[in-house]
Amino acid sequence: MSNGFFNELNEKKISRRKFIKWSGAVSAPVVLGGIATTGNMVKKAGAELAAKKADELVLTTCSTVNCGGRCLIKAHINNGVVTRLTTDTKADTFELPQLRACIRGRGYRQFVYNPDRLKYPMKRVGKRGEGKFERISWEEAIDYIAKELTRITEKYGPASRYSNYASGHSGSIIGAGNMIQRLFGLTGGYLGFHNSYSSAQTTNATPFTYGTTQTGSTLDNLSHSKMIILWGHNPVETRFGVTDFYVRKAKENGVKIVVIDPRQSDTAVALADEWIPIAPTTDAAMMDAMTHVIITENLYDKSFVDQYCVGFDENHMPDGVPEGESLKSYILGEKDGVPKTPEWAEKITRVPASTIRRLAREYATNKPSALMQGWGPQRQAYGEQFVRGGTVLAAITGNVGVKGGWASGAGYISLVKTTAVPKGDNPVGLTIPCFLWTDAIVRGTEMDAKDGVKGLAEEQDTLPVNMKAMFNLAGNTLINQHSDCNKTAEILSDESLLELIVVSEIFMTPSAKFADILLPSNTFMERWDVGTTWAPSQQAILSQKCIENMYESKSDYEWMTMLAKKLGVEQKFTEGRDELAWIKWSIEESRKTDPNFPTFEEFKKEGIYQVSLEGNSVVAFEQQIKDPKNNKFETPSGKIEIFSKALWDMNDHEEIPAIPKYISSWEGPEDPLTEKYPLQLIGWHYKRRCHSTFDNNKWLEEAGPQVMWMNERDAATRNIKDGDRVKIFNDRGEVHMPVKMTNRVIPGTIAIPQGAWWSPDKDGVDQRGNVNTLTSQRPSPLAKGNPQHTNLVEVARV
Amino acid sequence: MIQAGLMGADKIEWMNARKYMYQLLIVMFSTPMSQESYSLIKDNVQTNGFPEEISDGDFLKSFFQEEESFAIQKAREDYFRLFVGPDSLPCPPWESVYRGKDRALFDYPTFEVRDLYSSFGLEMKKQEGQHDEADDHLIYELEFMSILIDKVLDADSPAEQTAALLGQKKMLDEHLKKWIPDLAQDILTNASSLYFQGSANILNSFIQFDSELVNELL
Repeated sequence: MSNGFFNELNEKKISRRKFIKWSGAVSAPVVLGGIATTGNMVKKAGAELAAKKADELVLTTCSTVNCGGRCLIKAHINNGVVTRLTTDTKADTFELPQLRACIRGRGYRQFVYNPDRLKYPMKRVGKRGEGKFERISWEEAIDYIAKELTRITEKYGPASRYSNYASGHSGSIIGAGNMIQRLFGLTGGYLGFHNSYSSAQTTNATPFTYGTTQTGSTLDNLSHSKMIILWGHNPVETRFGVTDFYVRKAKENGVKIVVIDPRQSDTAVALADEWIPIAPTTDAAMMDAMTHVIITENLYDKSFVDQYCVGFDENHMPDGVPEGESLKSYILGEKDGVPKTPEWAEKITRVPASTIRRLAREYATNKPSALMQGWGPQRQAYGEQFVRGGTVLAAITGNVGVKGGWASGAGYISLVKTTAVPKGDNPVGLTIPCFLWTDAIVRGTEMDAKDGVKGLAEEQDTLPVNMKAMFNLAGNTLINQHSDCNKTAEILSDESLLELIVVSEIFMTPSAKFADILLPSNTFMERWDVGTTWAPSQQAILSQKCIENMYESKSDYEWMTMLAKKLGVEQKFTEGRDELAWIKWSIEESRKTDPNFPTFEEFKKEGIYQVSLEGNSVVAFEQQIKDPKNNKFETPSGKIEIFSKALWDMNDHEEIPAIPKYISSWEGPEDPLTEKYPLQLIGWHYKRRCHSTFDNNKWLEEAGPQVMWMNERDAATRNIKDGDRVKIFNDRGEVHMPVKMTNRVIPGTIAIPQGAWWSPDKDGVDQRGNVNTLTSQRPSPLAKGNPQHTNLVEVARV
Repeated sequence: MIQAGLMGADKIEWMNARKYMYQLLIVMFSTPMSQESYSLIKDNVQTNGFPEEISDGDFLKSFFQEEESFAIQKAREDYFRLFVGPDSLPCPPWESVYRGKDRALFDYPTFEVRDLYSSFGLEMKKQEGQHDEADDHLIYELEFMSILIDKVLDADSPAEQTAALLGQKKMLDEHLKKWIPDLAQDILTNASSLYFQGSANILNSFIQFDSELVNELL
C-alpha cells in the first residue's frame, strides 16, 4: 500500500463525490454526556496481545432446577465460558449406575446462554400483570423491597409476609425459598407453608398407615420381585433418580411389569408387559375390587394381617369404633349393601372385571411383588384414598418388609443425607397448606384448622391477617403451576390485595409478569449448591459455580445478603458465610452423621457422592416384620393401620374415611357435570420439561412439542383430525392447542402435558396449552392438596 | 494525534465521517432513547446527507415529525422490547445467536471477536465477579470499529494504518456483514417505532457500504 491510500480513492468505484456528500451527514461527533459511545472496551491488562489459550477446565455441576434425575454434568470451560457439556461416562453397573443426562441435561447450555435471560433488575411501570417494566439498579430494587416490606410489616404484622412454594431452584443446601424464610424469621417472622405441589396427598396419607413417609426400599429390591405394578408411575419421563434403570434390570431378570395409567406412558411403552388403562380418579375403586378378590378368594396373608395390622376385619379393630367399620366389612358391602366386586369397579374404572380379577390374583399369589405408586394419581380430588389403598394392598398380601416386596405409599428413601442451611425460628409459628395461598390472600382471616392451618394458638381461631407481601423466588407457582390461572390472575391483579410481589427469575415466565420488583437470577452454573434426586435416592452431586454471574444477575443468596444488610441483620443472616462457605459448612455437618460423606476437596475432585447398593440394600420396615416385639411401627397402635382411629376421630367419614375407600369424585366420571363436560382431563410430566422449566427451549420443543392427546374415538365423534387446533374448555377457562390423535390414552380422557407457559390472548384464551387454565383450586379433604388431575372439559374444533 | 504527513485534511474528514457513523449507531443501539439522545440525533444527523447507498428509508424524518415525548417513549419501549427484555427478545443483539447452531450466546463468534479484540490489545471492561456481557454483542463490535478508525487516524506509520484497516476489514467481512442483515431484518419486522425502522436501515446499509469502502481502501 502506498503511503497515502486515500490518494488512490478517486480511481476506485466509490466516488469522491459520495464521500464529500456523506461527510456532511453526521455533522458532529455523536457523543453524549450520559452515553459512552466508547469506553466499554479497555486496554488488555498484561503484555500479551494474542489471547493465550488457557487449558480447558472441567467442573462437575448439576441442575438444581426441580429435576427428579439430577444427572452428572461436566461443564467444559474455556476462558470463562462453558463451551460444551459431557455427562457421566463411568462403567454402568448394577450397584453404581451411570448418571447420564437425558435430553433436558443435554440442553443446559441453551438454558444458561439463552439470549432471553433476565439481565437487569426491573420495576413494574404498568398495571400489575400487564408486563410493563423499566430497568432499575440493584440498589434501587433493594431499597424499594426493604421500604415496602417494612411498611407492610408495620401495618399488617409479620404474618402477612409469605414466601411462595417454588421449586425452580431446588438445591438441597441453600434454596431460595428457605433463605428468604430465614431472613423473614430474623425480622419478626412470616406465614409459612407445609406440603408440596408434588406429593401433598401421599405425604399426609401414608403416615396414617405406616407412621412415616419413609416407605421406600432401595431399588435393587425390584430384581427380587416376581411382579412390579407401576400404578400411575412414569419414571422413564419423570426421572425418579434411576428408578427406570432398576425397573429395566428387573425386567431383564424376567420380572413381569404392569403399568396402570390412563395414558400409555413412555414407561408403559418401554418397560411394561401389560398396560391397563383406567379412568382418572377411579384408582381406589380398582383397588377396592382387587381387595375384594383377594379377600373372597382367600388370597390374603392371614397371619400377616393378624399379627401386624389393625382394622382388617372386625376382630382386629381399635376400641371405641362401632361394628361394621373394618376393611373386610366395607369391601364385602356388609353395611352399605354394595360388595366392591370387579364388576362393580368395571363400571366406574372402565377396567374389565376379568382384568381386575386376574391382576389381583397375580399380585397376591406371586410373592414377593412390588406395587409402586407414582405421585400422579394422588394429585386428584381424593388422592389420599389412592395412597392408602395401595398401602393396604401391600399389607394384606404380606408384601411389606420383605425383600422384593414394596410397602407402597410415599416411597421416600435416601441413602445420602445432605444438610440444608437452617431456616431458623419463625416467631409467627403459623403454616398453611401451600396449595391454599390464594385463599390466604383473599380470605386469610377466615382460614382455620379446618383449612389445614397449623400452629394456631389456643385463643387464636384463624390467621390474624390476610397475606400482603409475596416473595416468589425461582418458581412458577405464582400462576403457571397453581390451579385455575384465570382466577389466580384476577387475585394477583387486584393491587389492593397483595401490596408487594417480589419475583426472582431467569426468564420472563408467566409468574414473573406479575412482579412488582423483578430480579434477575443467575443459573445453577453460576452458583454453588448440591443436587439430590427425587426418592429413592442414592447420590448427591456438587453443583459447582462454573462461570461468573451473567449480565447483572445474582444468586438469591447474594441479593438477600444485600437486603439483610439494609434490614440490619446481615451478620445474623450470613453468619459471615458466602455460598461457598455454607457449602463447606454443610458438608462438615453431613460428615458428622455420615463419615463416608466426602470432604469438600474430595467432593470437588469427584463431583459426586454416589452410594453403591452393594452392602447398602435397604428394605423398608424389615425390622418391624422380622422382630415386631422390639420394632413397632410409628403409628398410634404400633401396627400397620388399615383402619386409622386418628382418621376416624376427625369425624368426616364421608370424605376422610378411616379405611381406604373409593369416593366418587367431583368432576370424576360419575359427576352429573359430565353431561356438560363429558371428557376427563389429566396432565403429565413431559420429558422435554422439568415442570415449567425449559418450556422456552426450542430444541426441546422439537423433541417434544406441546400437544394434547385424545383418543381416536373421542376425536371422531367431534369431527377432529390429527394435528387440528382445538379448543379445550370448562367453566374455568379455555385453551387452544394442537391435538394428537392416539390410542395411547383411554377413551373419555384427554391429556395435556403440564408446565407449558400460560399465554392468554386478549380474551384470556390460553394459546400455549397450559393445563392449569382448566384445573380447580378446590383442595383434597385431608391433605388440602392440589387435585390437578381432576377436571371435566369439552373439546371442539376451533 | 494526527500525523499530518500521513493524511490530508480531507481524508481525515472522511475517516471522521465513518467514525461518527459508528458512534451514531452506538448511540442508537446501546441505550434507551432519552431527551438528550433525541436532541443530539435530531440536531446532528442530516439523513439527506447520506450517500445513496445508505438509507434510513425516510423513517427518521417521520419519526422527528412525531410529538416529541410520545416519540421518545415509543422508542424507549421498543428498545427494551427488541434488545433488552424482560420478555423474549425478537432481535437478540449477539452474533452468536444469529450464527451459532443453538441460537444461544457464547458460540464460536464470541471467541473469534475476542481474539480479534485481543490482537489489538483490547478486551471488554469487566466487573469483578460478573460476566456482564458477551464479546460479540453488537455494541462491542461497533465500538471496536470506532476504536480502530481512531487507530488509523492516530497511526505513526503506514504499516500501523494498514494494520488498523485490516482489523476493520476482518470485523466487517467476517462478522458484521454476516449477521447484521438478519438482525436488521428482524428489527424491521418487529420494531413498532419509526426510530428503529430507520436505525435498522442505516445499520444494515452502512455496514454493507463500509465493507465495500474498506475493501477498496486496502
